[in-house]
Amino acid sequence: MPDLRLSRRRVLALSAVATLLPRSGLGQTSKVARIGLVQSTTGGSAALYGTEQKQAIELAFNEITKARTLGDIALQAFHADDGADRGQTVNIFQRLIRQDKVVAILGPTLSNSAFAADPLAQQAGIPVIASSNTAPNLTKIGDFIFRTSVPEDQVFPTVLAYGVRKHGVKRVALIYGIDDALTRSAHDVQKKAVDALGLESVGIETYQRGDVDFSAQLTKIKAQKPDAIILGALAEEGAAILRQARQLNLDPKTVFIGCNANISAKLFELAGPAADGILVGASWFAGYDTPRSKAFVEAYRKRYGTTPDIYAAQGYDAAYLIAEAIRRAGTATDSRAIRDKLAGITDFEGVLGRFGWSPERDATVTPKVLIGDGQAKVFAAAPAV
Amino acid sequence: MSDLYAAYENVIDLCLLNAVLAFSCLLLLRVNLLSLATGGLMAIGAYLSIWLTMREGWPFGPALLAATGAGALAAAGLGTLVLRLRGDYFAMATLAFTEVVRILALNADPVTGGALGIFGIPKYTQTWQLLALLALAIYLVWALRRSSLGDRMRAIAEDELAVAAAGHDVARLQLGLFTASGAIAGLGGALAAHLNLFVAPSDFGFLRSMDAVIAPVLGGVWNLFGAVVGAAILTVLPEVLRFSAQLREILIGAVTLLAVLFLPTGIASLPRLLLRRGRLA
Repeated sequence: MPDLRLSRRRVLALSAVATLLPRSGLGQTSKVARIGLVQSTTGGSAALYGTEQKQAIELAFNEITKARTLGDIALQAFHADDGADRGQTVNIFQRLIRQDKVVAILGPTLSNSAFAADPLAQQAGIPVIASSNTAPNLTKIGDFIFRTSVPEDQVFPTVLAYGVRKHGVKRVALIYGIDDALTRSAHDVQKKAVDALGLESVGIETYQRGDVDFSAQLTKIKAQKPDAIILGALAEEGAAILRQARQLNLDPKTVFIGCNANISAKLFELAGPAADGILVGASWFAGYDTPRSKAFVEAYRKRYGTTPDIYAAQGYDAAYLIAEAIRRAGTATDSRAIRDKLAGITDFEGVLGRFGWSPERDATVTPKVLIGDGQAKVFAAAPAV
Repeated sequence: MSDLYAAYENVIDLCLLNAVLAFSCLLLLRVNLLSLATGGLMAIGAYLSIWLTMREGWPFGPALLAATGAGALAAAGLGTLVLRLRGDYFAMATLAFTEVVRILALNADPVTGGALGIFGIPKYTQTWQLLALLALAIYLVWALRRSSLGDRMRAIAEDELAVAAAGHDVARLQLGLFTASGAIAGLGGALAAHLNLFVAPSDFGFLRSMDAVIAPVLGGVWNLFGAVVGAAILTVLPEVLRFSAQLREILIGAVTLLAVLFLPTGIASLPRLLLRRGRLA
C-alpha cells in the first residue's frame, strides 16, 4: 500500500505552488492587468522617493478600481523593492516580465537602475513609465520607455530666464556635487542654460558627497561678486551652502537658484530662514491650484496623513496614464497595444496639469517657477515679473 | 527548469560572477592578506574592456584578455608598493587604492562618463562563460591545494616568520598571489561591465570590495566551495528576504553575523559538521 502521508518536502512544494498560482477565482472580473511596481522602499535616500511613489500609485489604483473606469479589467499591482541596488532591479525586471507576465512596469526609482533594467522591458515589448528618473537620454533606450518625471533641462532654462527678468542677473557662479549622477547632470543642464542666455560665468566650484564645509568654495565665489549662485546640489548640501553663504555675509541681494533635488521639506528643515527667496523650477508643487491637483493632495493626506511630494504626484499621473492606455486598448494582456495607446495620449488632464508626450516620450508639462518661503517652510508660486 | 532560468537568469549570473570575485579574495585570505583592492582592480578591467569594445571595436574575447592583463599589471604594481605592510595597514592601503581609482574615474569624463556613468554597453557576458570561469577557478584552487605551493600557503597562514626563516621567499609568493588575484578581479570587472549594460564609478567602491571579502569568510576560507557558497548566499539572500521589506537589511546583517560567530569555519563546512555530530550521536 502506498504511503499517503506527505513528506515534508512535498508539503513545501505544494504550498509553494499554491502561493505562485494566480488568485483567479477571487474576483468576478474576467481580465486582470498585471502591472509591475518597482520602487525602492529601502536603500538610503532613494527609499524616500520610492515610498512616496508607491503610495501614490497604490492610491490611484484603488480609486480606479472603485470607479470601475476600466470595465471588466482589474488592475493588479506587483510591488517589489530593489533596495536602490541596480543588480536587484535587473533581477526584478526579469522576474516580473518572464514569470509574473506583467503588461507594464511603473518605475524604477533611480535613473541608474533604469539604464540597466529598462532595456529588458524594451526587448520584451513591455511599456515602462518612470516617475522619478530625470537623467538625460533615458528614454533613448527605446520606444517603450516613457516618463512623467520632468528632466532638469525642461525646467531650468525657464527658472533662469525668470531670474534674469526679475532680478537682472548677469554674472553667475555655479557650485555642484561632482560624484553624484543627479547633481552632475543638473550642473550640465545649468551650464548650458547659462551659456544659452549669454550670461557671464565667473566661477565653477565642486564638492563631494558627504562634504559639510563649503566655506572655501563660497569664499572664492564671494570674491567674484556674482548676481546669482546656481546650485547643483542635493537638499542636504544645498541647505548647508545656503546657511554658510549667509554666515560669510554674502551680498544679500545675491539670488540663489536651485535644482530639482532642492524641492524638499528637508531644505527648509536644515536651512531655516536662509532658504528664503531661493528659486527652483518644478513640474508640480503641493500648493498648485487646479481642481485635479487639490483633489489628489486631499486624498493622499486622508489616506497617508502626510502631504505628497513631487514624486508622489508624478507617480500618481503615471498610474492614471497606464490605466487610460489599458482602457483605450481594451486588453489586459497585449502590452504592445497598450504601448501604442499610451503613446497616442495627447491631452491628459493630470495632477501636473494638461500634458502629452514629447517625441522623446517625456511628459510635456509646463514648468512652474517656485520661490522658497523660509518662514512658512514651503515653496510657493513665484510672483509674476 | 528553463522557465526558472528565464525568471532568475540575472540572479544566477550575479551568483557566478560574485563567486569568481570571491575566489580572488580567497587566494589572499589564505596567506593572511585582507585586500580591499578588488573594487579598484575591477574598475580598471571594466573601463578598459568597455573602451576596447565600444570605441575600438574589439571583439569580446581579446577585450577580456586585455582586462585580465591590466588587472594583473595593476595588482603587481600595487603589490610591490603595499605588500610590505601588514594587517590593518595593508587593508587600509588597498582601500586607498580603490578610492583613488574611483575618484579618478569620477573625473575622467571622456572615458568613464564621470558620475553619470556609461550606458548602452553591449551585453556580451553569457551564463556559460561565467560557469566555465568558475569551474576553472575551482579547479585551480583545488590543484593549488594539492601542490607544494599549497603547503607553503598553509604554512604562511600558520606562521609567516617561520616560513621565511626556513628560507622560503614569502614576499615573492604573496606578490604572485596578489597578481593572480588582480587578474581575476580585472576579468571579473570586464564581465560585470558587459552583464548589466550600465556602469558608474560608484559600482566599484568600498562596498564592492567588502562583498568580495565577506563571501569567502562567510562560506569558509579553507573550504573548496566556501567562496561559491558564500557568494551565492550573499546574492540570493536579498531576493529571498524581499518579502520582509524594511527588515531585509537587518536580516542580511544578522545572518552574516551569526554565521561568522557560530560557524567560524564557514557555512560550507556545515554538512561535514552535521555529519560528524550525527555520527557521534
